[in-house]
Amino acid sequence: MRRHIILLLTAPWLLTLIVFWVFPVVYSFWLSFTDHSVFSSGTFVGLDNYARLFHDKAFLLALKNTAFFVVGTIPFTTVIALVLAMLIAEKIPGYKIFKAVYFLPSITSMVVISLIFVSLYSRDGYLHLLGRLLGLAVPENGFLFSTATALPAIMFMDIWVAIGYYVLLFLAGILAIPPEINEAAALDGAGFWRKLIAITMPQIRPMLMFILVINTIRSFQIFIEIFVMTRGGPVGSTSTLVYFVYEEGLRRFNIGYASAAAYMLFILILILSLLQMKLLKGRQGVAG
Amino acid sequence: MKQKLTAVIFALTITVSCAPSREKQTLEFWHFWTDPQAKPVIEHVVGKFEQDNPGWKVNLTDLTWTDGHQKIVVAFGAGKPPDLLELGSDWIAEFAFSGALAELNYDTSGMLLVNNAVLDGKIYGRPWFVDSRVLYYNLDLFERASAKAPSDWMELEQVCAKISSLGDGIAGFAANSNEPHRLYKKFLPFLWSAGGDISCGTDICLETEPMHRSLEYYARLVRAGRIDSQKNLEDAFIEGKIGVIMSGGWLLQRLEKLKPPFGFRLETMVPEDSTKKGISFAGGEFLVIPAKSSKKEMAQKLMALLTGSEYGRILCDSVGFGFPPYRHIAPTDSNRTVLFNQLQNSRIAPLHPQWVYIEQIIENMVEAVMLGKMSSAQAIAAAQKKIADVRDH
Repeated sequence: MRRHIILLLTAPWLLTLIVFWVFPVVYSFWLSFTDHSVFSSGTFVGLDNYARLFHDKAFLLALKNTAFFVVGTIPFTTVIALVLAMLIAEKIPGYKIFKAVYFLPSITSMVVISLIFVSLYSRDGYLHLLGRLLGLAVPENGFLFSTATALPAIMFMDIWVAIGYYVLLFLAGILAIPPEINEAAALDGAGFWRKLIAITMPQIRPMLMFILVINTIRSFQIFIEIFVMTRGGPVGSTSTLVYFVYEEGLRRFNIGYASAAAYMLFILILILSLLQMKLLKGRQGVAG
Repeated sequence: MKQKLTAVIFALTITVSCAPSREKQTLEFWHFWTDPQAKPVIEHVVGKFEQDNPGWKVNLTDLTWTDGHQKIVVAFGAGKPPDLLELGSDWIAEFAFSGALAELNYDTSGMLLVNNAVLDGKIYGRPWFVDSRVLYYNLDLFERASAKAPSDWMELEQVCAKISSLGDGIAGFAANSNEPHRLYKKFLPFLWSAGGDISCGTDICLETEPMHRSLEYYARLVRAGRIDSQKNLEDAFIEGKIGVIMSGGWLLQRLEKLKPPFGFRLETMVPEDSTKKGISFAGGEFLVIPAKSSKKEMAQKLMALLTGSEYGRILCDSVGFGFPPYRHIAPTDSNRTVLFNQLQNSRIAPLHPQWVYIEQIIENMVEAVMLGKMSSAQAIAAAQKKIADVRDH
């Protein structure tokens, strides 16, 4: 009887999970082995779609751009967020305001933020003007219309947007460190850097691992910024993996091929996340 | 008694089930005219159709240009498309080649852009609203740069360079980037005006002499100009910061409404030299009937009413730009006459089953040369190879 009630009460959630999560995941996995398109049910093609991806220059470019985005944003986001969290933890004057201000971009629509930055980066935009005033070699038609600056400009915006969320997470980790540990270290004559290396970093390692994993997943899935700001241009210089999946699936209707690309992305994220967890857990073992 | 009652109930049941249904038959019509000027026109025509055809009701569904294409694709994919559907001119090929559209039969004489909907001699759509792209000149900037209206490409390049040299953020020419479906519409007119084309039979051929000439020329023109999105470029033209821009009738409507403090003029596409014609890009809206519709006859009736010259003209007047697709309906004012004349010398995107890929390859090719990433020869060769790859898949 009790089992039946539990099943009944969890049924709405279970049904939602099966219909909107499990089924699409399993079905798209099957589709990745077919040449299914919107207008035809398609036939089984085995691993052809996956093999084709490795020869598709557009996919390889999207992979390269995504890797550049991930490598170029995660270290900055993590380090800046950690520094800001430590400053806030020191309760510097006005720290509550800073906490709210840093978090503000995280609760603002990414479409809105992207549109604002399109304007800031444009030929007549404030950031372009600032660059000119500082005597920097800014691209003539704005940051988003140069193959050299379009992706770094989006990365800069993304770092700005993401920091606030990670500041809060780091702050939670730092504030969870028992104060007596730091007090004892101070009595023993430990300075700021010593406390950071010997106490803070080991204590917040689980949080650091969590932040690195979710930041990696989020960075690999970058899409809205690209869709709103550049549509993968100019000359494919901002095309990313999820944007590639969108183009293949929803503009060219190659559902099978797009599914294969999506699963490649999934495998990539899975491997990197497992690697990060293994590395950080390993270090924790040594430190512990 | 019991037998009598059973007989009465039986008789009543038969009467009710055999009585003619008063419920109207519905016709599903999906369209993109959601702006407050055009929607009442559509509703009026639909009302007239319902009045003329008692027993029929038209269900109007509004689509937006942002996600309308996806909704249409999903509807076709689910096997539940509407009975009548509006499509952009560059979408006809992808749906027609996939067998999703019904073949139509109507009198095409005197109609513009019908070829845009003809595949293997069969008609799959009916033009509803057509427009072309022309060159808009800022006459004040022309005067400040001591330039006169160009008659060939060389003069156009000189004019744009002179205007750019005025400084103060002023650009001679406007070029698109970072927006799919835009750049090829601006570049192909240069190729066509150089006597070239990308279609060679059923294939796409880029490695031609006119392609090399027009691509090199376009890149030079862009370097004396501004690269931006279409909206930003048009805004900049209205602000008086651009000398020459290629655009459609919608820009004329904005200029007439906003009345900028400078003189402007519309001109047909400048030819490469005096021996050639200036050819531009034409596009517009078409009505199609999905192959799966079970009400094709009535859908075609509504289609004929909507695209007729009477309501076509009213629709264009309400929107403020565009033309009904008939050669005999010429505008009276001089600016719209330029657009209408250009329409007679305009071409459409090639009807190719893989156009959605080819379009992007061409846009990347032009962008690569425009931004100095490749020489025109390198970009054309790379694009041709990509097209071969797409064809092989």
